[in-house]
Amino acid sequence: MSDAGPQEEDLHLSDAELQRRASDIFDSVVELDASERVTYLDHICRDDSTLRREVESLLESLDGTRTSELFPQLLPADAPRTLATGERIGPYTLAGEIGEGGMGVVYRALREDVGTTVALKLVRHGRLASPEHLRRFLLERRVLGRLEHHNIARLLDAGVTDSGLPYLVMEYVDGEPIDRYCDAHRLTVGERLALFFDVCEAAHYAHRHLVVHRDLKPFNILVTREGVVKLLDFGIAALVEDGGRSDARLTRSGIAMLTPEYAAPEQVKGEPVTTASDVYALGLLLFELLTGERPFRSEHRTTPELLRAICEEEPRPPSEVVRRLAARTGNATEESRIGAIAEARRTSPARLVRRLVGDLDTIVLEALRKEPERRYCSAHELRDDIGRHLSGMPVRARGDSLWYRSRKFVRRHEAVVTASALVVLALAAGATTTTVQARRADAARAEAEQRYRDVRSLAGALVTDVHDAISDLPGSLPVRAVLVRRALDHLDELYRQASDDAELRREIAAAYLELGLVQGNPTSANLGDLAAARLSFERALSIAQSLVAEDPSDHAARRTLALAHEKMSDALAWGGGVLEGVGHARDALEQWDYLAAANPGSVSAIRAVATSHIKLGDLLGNPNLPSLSDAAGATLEYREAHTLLRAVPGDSAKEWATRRLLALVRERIASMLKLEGRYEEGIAELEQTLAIREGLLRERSASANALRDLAVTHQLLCEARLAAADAAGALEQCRESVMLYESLRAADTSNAQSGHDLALGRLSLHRVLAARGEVGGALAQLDGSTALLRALLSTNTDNALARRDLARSLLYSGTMHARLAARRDGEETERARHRTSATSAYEEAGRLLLGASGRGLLSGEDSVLVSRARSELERARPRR
Amino acid sequence: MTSPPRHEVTRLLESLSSGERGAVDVLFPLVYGELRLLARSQLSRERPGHTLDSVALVNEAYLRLVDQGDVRWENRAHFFGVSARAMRAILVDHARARNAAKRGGGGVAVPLDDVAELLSDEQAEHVQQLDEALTRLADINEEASRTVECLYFGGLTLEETAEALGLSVATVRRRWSFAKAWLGRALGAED
Repeated sequence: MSDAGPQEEDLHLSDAELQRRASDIFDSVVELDASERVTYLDHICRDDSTLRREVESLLESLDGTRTSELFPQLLPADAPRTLATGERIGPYTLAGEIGEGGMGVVYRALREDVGTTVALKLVRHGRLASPEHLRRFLLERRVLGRLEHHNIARLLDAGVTDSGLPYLVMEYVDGEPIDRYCDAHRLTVGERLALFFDVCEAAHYAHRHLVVHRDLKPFNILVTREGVVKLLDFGIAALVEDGGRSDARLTRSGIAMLTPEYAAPEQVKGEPVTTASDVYALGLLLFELLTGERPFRSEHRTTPELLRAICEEEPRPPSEVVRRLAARTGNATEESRIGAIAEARRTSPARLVRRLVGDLDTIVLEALRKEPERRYCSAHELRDDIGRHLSGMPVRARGDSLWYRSRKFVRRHEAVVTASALVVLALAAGATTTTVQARRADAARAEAEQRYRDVRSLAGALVTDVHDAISDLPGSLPVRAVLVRRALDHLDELYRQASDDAELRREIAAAYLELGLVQGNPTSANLGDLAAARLSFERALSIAQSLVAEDPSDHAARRTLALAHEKMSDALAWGGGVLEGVGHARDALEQWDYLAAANPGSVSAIRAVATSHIKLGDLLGNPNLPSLSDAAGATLEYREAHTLLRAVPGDSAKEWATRRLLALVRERIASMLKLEGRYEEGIAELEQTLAIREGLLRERSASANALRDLAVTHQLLCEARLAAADAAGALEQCRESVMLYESLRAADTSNAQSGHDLALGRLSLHRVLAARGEVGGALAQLDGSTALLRALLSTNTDNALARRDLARSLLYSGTMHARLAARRDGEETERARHRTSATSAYEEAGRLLLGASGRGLLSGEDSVLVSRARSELERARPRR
Repeated sequence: MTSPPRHEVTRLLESLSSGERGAVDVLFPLVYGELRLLARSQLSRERPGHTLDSVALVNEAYLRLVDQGDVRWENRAHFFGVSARAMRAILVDHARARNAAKRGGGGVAVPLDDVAELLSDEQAEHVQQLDEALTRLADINEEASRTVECLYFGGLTLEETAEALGLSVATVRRRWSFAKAWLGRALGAED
């Protein structure tokens, strides 16, 4: 409608243009009332009667069109799928729909055997994905079920329908959302504050039980006919998300399910959700109860705009918002709006402004701070300030710096209370806090002792039960990452106060070890953060060292010490410090020897010594791992381990763990044989290894470790056969291993090791294909391994081995491209393309290898590669 | 058919938000394929007579296709926008096939078997008419047409629709009104 002139009638608008103009006008008038529409149309359409008829016809059609007829219920687009009254879910009979929330539909339901009415919430998007999810869902339900407060609607039950949808059963509350209740009953500001006081009280009760709501909003806060506040859905957001959705959700705050308008800045940013997020939500609620407005009104904002405002825009003080509304005279809608707002509070706009200025402005803004740590540090504090205001005392939020400082001090110790994803962990963390505080108060000594014991058993459960239960399941890493973060907070706090208790310190050391393993143990499933892992191992090591120094007969501490040395050794070696790693490996061996001597006849002690020999041997000269290239030294250690294991008596020799270790030693010996050029002997050892491992896998088919062992064996057999010039045999083995690696990778894509394994498998496969002259196929394998290794390095730049392997992968690529470029029969453009690819691959590999050689990770093979790639590149250059 | 790697879809979504137009062409078939697959499994899992829950489908596709550790809010919105378009295509393809089969005409493009019983005969007829009307509406007011796509076919909420289309909720509401008015007239006249 750029140049709509007065003669437009003559311009003869085409039908489409007419409709487009009508659509613009429709847009402007659709929200006006009837008389305003007429005025507007009179003005805008002037004497274009065709256009006016068109707009009017549309408006008529809108009034006459029923949405349900236009868009029949083939998809539940407007309304969610509903179940019929009388249908049964578990022991409940549905008695009618109550409403729809963010997560699903809520029904009133009857439990006939007990004769009670309940609210049953059927979770729409949540399908429980695995037995593990179900287990956690039910576990957390129990914790939530313990909340008993007369202002909180109780969670009574939870379960899963026949078709796999989770449902929750709650106390049935017959009430109205708090904002509507306040307006309908025309509650004064004082009366509103009194209700809000109860809301804070209830929220604080839940927080004390380490349950965070995460989605507090008027819709979830009902007031009954008797005027009693009832909070719904406490902890439900966490329960539903964690129970029902993918693991990736665990690491985020799950904003997808929240109402953006009510989200706290940290929720928008995907940072951890804590009790402070609920305090923020309470601030929003107070804002709305006082002013009838929301601080970041969303109707005319797009969601990204709204989200940005939540994170960046400072909210206006409530009094200011009301003042501005009142100042906007001349607009009938706005005037009646502010009139209604004041009226619903039995006051005038001016008096309302005066009521809000000062205390209430300050309290609201204090709760709505962008940074969680600058808000009231609990719902209780917020409640207290409301109480002070109501009784005319000075509020703390306007307070002095001393109070602010002391509050920060308290906050430091409450930082561990970040209950959300895993309630078990939240419990552990929270109990710590309580311990710290309770221990300070002499009067509460008995309670403190009890708490202390709780902490201990929770710490135990944390690292053993929970962790062990999931550690060998593919796909469990994201869950373990959450465990780690929580557990670290918890342990650091515990460590600070445990100077005088040997048993507790031992447990703490063990827990640090477990944590380190999840963070970055290079030899099993891990999160790929070697630096963090090393820190945890160091802590474990120093605690264990001091324990052993205090009491040399403390075997448990010595065991922890040995493990800590072992893990330090691994972490150092894989981070490039092989020599330091060897030192720790020898220290570990010394401790295991001591323990085996102190426990004669203990098979597990013998296994530990054997394992330690293998680890030391690996660092000395395992050709497939970072090592000092001391082949003779390595062989000696492996043989020692072999001798020890063969000496294990009959029954113990049949044990799974013993056989697994024996297979490992044979695999290592085979590698050394191959290195010496004794191929046939090496292959024979590997065939033996394969047989043992196939047996092991048959016994534990769900074990990812057993599956990986098998894949490694196939890969080694492939390499051995290739070295023995049996390319066909090698190919068969290689395909087998890559297939196994791929299935491991698919089962757990966030596992750094499975990516590295697959990359190495592809490198081997490339070698076989290249040896058979299948250059294109070889190149494809290299592209795969290069991509995998790059991805690995992008999350963990510290992984020296991945860096070296990437360099190798690139070097091989360069060689393959150079070979293709040198083909006489190739087209010149193709050859030029390969030359370019070869050059860039070679250059990048060169840079990477330069870095690796500084850390002693370059083998003779690598040096040969560099020069070979260089000469092939030379050969590929066009001759003049 | 296996799902593409999650980071691939995430990357495509990123190029979408940076305005790379070709990304939709690559993304659309991925999402279309996944939703179709999910629809089939959803229908086989539910009791007979159950309708398709497009909300659940789109959410499930999102979880399966997108690497959520990396994806930003806006990209999620783009995904929902593409899903809505894909859901429309799935239903319309199905409706066409069904209508063609009913009329006994040959040359059915999409096999019925894999998303069987998605629509009743009556609904299939309606969906095809609606789709044709929507295509005409797009020429009059593209945003209104897309709004219907998101709200109705994609099962998105007002807020999600606003995100996907880069509009405010208020604007989406007005576009929805216009679409209803326009479609009501167009379809009413044809019946």
